Amino acid sequence: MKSFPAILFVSMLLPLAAFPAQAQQKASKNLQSADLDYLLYLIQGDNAQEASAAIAELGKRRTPESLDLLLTQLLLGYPPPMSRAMIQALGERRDPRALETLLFYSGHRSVELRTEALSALCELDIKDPAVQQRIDDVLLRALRDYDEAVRNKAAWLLGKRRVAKAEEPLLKLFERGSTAAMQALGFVGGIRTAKALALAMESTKTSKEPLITTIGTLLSRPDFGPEPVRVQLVKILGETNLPGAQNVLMTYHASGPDAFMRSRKLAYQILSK
Amino acid sequence: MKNTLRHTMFALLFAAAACKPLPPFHQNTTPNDPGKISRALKMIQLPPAKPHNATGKPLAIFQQASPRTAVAVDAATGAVLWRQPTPNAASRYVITGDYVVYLDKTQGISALDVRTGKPAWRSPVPPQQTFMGMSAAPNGKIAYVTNFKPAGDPLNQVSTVTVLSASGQKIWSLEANGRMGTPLMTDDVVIVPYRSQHLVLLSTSKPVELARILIPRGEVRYMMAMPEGIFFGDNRGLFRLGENVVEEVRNPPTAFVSDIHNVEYRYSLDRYDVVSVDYSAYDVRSLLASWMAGAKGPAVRGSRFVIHMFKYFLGFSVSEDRKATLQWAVMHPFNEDLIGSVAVGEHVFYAKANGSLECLRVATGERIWRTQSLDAAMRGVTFDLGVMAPPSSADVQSPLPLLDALTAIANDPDSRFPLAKRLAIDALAVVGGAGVGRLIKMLTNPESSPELREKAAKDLVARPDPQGVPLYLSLLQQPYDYIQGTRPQAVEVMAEVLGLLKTREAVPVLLQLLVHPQTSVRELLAITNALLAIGDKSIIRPFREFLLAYRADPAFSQDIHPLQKMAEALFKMGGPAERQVLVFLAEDGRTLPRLQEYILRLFDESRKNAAPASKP
Repeated sequence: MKSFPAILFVSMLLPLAAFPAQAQQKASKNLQSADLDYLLYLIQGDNAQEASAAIAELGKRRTPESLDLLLTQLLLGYPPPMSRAMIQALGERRDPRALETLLFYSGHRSVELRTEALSALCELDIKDPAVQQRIDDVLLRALRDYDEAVRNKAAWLLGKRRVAKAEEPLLKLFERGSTAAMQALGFVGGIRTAKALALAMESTKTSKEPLITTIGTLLSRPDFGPEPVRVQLVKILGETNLPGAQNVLMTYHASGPDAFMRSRKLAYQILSK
Repeated sequence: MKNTLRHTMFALLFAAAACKPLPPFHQNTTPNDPGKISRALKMIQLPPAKPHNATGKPLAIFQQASPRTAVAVDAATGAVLWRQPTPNAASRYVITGDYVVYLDKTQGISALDVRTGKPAWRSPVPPQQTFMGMSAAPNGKIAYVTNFKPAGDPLNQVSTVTVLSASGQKIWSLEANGRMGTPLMTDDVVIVPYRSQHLVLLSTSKPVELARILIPRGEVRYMMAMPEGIFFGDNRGLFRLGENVVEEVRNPPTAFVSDIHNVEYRYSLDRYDVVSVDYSAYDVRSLLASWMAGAKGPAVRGSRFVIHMFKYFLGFSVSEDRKATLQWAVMHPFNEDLIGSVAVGEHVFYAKANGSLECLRVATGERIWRTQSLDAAMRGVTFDLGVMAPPSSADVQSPLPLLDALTAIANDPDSRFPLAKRLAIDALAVVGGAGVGRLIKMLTNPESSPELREKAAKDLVARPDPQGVPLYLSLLQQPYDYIQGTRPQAVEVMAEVLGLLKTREAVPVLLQLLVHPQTSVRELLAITNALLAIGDKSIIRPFREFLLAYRADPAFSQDIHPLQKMAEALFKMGGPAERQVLVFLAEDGRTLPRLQEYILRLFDESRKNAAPASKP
């Protein structure tokens, strides 16, 4: 009974503690129903948090007017953090009309904005092969950027998009020690990549685990071949006394492409020993 | 009466005492007595055009560094004649008659037999005196000067000149208040530079002052005795010692003028500088020429001379108005240090630190002869070559073309001689003919020194060549490519040059660079300025887009100039749409403050200028 006042006091404080979350939810609800003018007012205002929330809200909307608003604001120029949020919002919307704006920002002086624009470009819902080719070209150009972060992002995106043309520049970056390029090569590489990886496995200077992962990625691709090249890679993995190599072999044996049974069997034989 | 006689006698005695000639080398002796000068000059025997040593062979006496040893070399063959340890040698060797003479720190003046190298005689030098240097006459007589500063006081210093016979016997010695320099010895007359502006001529056989010459302007720092005369002077130039010397020294000395800056040299060893007593780096910084009597004062043989700077030689020709023009340049590799050089007729002989001798032709810079290395580290050399001509040799090496040689000197990775590099860079600018291609090569070559790049950039900007436009553009069109390792080169300089030339075809290239993320802010400014200078209207849109994209970018807060320039361009060249953009930039709170201020100022000034015009 003595503790009753304390319990009463704490129970009075609890709603107060929950207030910020409630307020945020309320603001969020408000933004969802807010008109574009109000969102623009918030974006142009001094409160960075509210501006970010308004930008995020624009990213969720699907109306052409809201997209126009985003694109217009991006072209009017904002400090990089806000521009970045707007580019992210464009990426979420995946609207092909953002293409030109994102292409412009893929050449921005800010590294963050460049990488973000590259990511957003790859998110766009574009079916036209010519436009896809244009985006690939931008990524291939970004692979030659003097900034490592941009190169890494481009390598990753090229790997993800499986742009075969990227193999050669990626191999050159791999020769210069780029791990991102090596990982991307797992998705786009062919025989030349296999040879480069095999040579790198012999080198004492290269870290083996990422190489093994890349070889695993190569082996998991049904378009990678021919079989003798796979056999060689499996043998190299078999000679490597690392747990990662065994995992790759196990995965390959269990779920590798069916067209390459010989190398999968070899993987099994190696594991059985 | 007696008193009168006594007074008269006293007056006569006083007068007689007053008329007594001053002792030799007195500081108050009246200079420039034409009769005395003439008589003294007649006594001077100029050195013969043959080696001074008694063997009659051309000799080079090297001083080996460690252990300090005299190494006599037959200059005609490079063969070692003898070696003699001289561990306490504290001066350069002087070759004369039967002996090689030097100052020994412990024994005084010491002589080695010129034929065998064996020690011959010694003559003590007064203790506690600073040895200023020594000189020898062809007949073997030696003169040296010492200096004494009581308690280090330079105002009360006393100098002593001593003349020794060929066998080392002291003939006479004279003291004088003030400073003497290293004397110049001839057979019968010793010429002592005194108190910087006097030349005192004394007999070598008795302590008699023959004449004194006052040089009213400049100093007497250098003196050379050559078969064609005795030449003296300072860094301003040289005079020839002759009958009319008193009048001649009132005129400017003979010197050469060159458009090339940073040409620093000595005409010979500085006779007042104690550094000249011993071998030093000053031995390889001199003007090498065979001096002779010209119609208008001293002249150089063949109207050519060579400047020796460390391991570089630069050959000049001289016009009638004494303008020197660089003709050739020679550089020696990093591991080939030079230790001494001398001009003999139409050739320059020089010695390397490895003990080898080489010879250049003054007219062309060709290396026409050389001897084998002695495989020892030498620290200095004294030549006694007479009029030696180099033996014929098939081993002839032509110098590089002048521009290539100067570029090589400017780019020499050996960083010990910045003075020579600056000279080469200046020479490159003066020599001319360094076309756009060469200047661009200098500018873009990664091995180019920063000074050379700066110079090339200045030259390109100072003389923009319209024919070089394709070359300029090709530099800017190199892509930014991390994989290939390429990037546009010399962007700032090229942009400036293209702006000066107002090259319209450069606009697209410059605009591409303007929007490229890897263009630095300094390059951006140069590009913006160039585009403004060209004044093409096509820049308006890219400038507008750039301004909008980066108006709030803090990356420009430190260096806002490119944005300001673009705003100014929009203001001047743009239409209503651009004015709207500028108004937006000026009013929007996110625009960088310095950019905002600048745009507002543009508007203000525009209003102020418009207001008076609108008044009736």
